[in-house]
Amino acid sequence: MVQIKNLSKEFEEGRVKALNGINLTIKEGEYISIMGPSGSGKSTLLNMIGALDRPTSGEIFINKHNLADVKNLAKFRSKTIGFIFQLHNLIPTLTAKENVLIPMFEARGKGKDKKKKAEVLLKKMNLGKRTDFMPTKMSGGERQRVAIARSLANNPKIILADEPTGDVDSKSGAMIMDILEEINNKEKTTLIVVTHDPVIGARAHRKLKMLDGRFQEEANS
Amino acid sequence: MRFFLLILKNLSRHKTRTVLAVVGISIGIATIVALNLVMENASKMIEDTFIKQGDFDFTVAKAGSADVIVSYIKEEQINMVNEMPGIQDSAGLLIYMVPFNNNPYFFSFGLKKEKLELGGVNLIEGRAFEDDAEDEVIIGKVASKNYDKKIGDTINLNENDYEIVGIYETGTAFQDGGTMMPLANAQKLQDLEDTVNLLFVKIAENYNVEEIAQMIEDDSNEELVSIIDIDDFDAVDQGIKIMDAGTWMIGILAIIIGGIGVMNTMVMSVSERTREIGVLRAVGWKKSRVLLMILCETLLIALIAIIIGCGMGAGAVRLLMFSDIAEGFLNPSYFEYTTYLKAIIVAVLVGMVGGLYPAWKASRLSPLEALRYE
Ligand SMILES: Nc1ncnc2c1ncn2[C@@H]1O[C@H](COP(=O)(O)OP(=O)(O)OP(=O)(O)O)[C@@H](O)[C@H]1O
Ligand SMILES: [Mg+2]
Repeated sequence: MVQIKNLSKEFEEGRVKALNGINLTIKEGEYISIMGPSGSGKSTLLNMIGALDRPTSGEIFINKHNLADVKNLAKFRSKTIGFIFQLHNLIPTLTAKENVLIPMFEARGKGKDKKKKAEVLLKKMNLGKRTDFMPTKMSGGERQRVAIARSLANNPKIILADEPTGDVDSKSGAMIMDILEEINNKEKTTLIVVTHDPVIGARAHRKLKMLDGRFQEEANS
Repeated sequence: MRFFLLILKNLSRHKTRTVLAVVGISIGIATIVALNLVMENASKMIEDTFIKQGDFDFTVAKAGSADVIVSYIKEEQINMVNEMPGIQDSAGLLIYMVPFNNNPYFFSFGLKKEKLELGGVNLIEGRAFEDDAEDEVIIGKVASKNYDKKIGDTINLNENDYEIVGIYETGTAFQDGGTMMPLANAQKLQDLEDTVNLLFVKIAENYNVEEIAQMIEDDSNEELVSIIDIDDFDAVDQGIKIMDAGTWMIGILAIIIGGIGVMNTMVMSVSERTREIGVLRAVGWKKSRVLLMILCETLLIALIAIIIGCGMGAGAVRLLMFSDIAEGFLNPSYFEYTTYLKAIIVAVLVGMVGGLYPAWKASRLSPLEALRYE
């Protein structure tokens, strides 16, 4: 599914080496957690896989396609990737349902079907009664679940979650993880979670640790 | 959710700011519409007065006059024109202004009785004045209505009392807003014996109108000018040309100010939404869709401004028309779409130009940097 070869990323004209020759293979439907100290390069790696940024050197293959050869990265993101950020990043003037509809602008289909799908997704997130709520009227956990629904809008192959529970209490965090795991389980969506929380990190099938832009160890793989 | 709804919601985020941007462009549009309504009407009036109305083919005036009122054609020049081959008939018109009823620009005209028809003056009530009657006038339809003067009433002009014997109509506001008396009377009152301001000329059949018009100019050593079409009018009256240039200047200025306003609004709006735009790009929005979103927001501002601005401009002219002075001059055609077309094209252009830069900026944001933006 994902194959990373000798991936490096430098910032500030080489003064900051965020990633230092990463090699990683991820199979379809895998559930991976990435942990490590602040600044070790976790977010940078996730952004590379999600094609939000280009590597300095090395290659990333997704479904055998080299990302360097993909002309339309927006289309790639829209079809393949579902992002979840630490901050929910919902659009404040739109309701929960409208926020979920945002990625679907790039997808084909009838407006009616899209609305239906947004409602179904929100129901799955246990937000069936919140579809027309504004983000300001929802709790942090609820907002994050809207963000998850939004990441699922175009049936992504890979979900990239960067500290999805970083901003909510442990109870909400557990609920968010339950939902993500269920998707991974049922839809066979590849799930990569970056977290600082060892309890959450331990839930993954494969646990990776990063330090100074490299994988430090790989336990229980 | 429709794309349009998203744009609407984005604009309603900062209502005051959106309203201010709309007002900025609206004022520019209103200015253009109002000036256009007046200018187009002035041009049409000139065309009617000098070319189209009556039985004459064109009008002769004194070259180089700053205004028609000071175009003085002397007797020998009138005779010269009348003796030229191909001239079937001509009618001299004297124009002057007299203060009347708080209106300092009340027009009075002098024309011979038998030339009324040639000059395009149609009697709609009563009879014409007699050429030797010193106290008879006919009054224009608009003036009759505005000042409530009917046949048999007396009108005091220049401290003389005149009896109104008829009501006339020419179809041009400035003529219908005044009175008309025998040419000889008017000349005596103005101390301009044997002089006219304009000479309406009718060309005999089988003669070429343009050739004779040219001949008049040549034979008078360019002292006279023949007004065959609206462009010739510049030679007699620079006023309309200056006003026209002024109209464009003011309009363009107003629109530039409105355009800068809308650009400022959108640049601010984009910068505030940097993170959001990063999210849109991260969830797969193409650059072009971000560009389209910002551009449509700007165009919607322009569109609302068009509706408000056109209404404001037409409303301002309508208000102006409540004054007797304006009513004596103008008869604007509010429903001529060409008046609004110019304003609409300019406003859409302003929307495009004002929106393009912020839209381009928004679409060029790197999604990652936008997401990291605080
Ligand atoms: N756009 C950037 N410009 C400059 N330096 C950057 C940029 N993005 C990341 N870095 C640097 O790269 C290194 C790795 O950053 P990254 O965000 O990947 O760390 P992280 O593991 O996600 O940390 P945290 O747990 O705090 O989120 C850091 O030293 C960071 O300062
Ligand atoms: Mg990070």
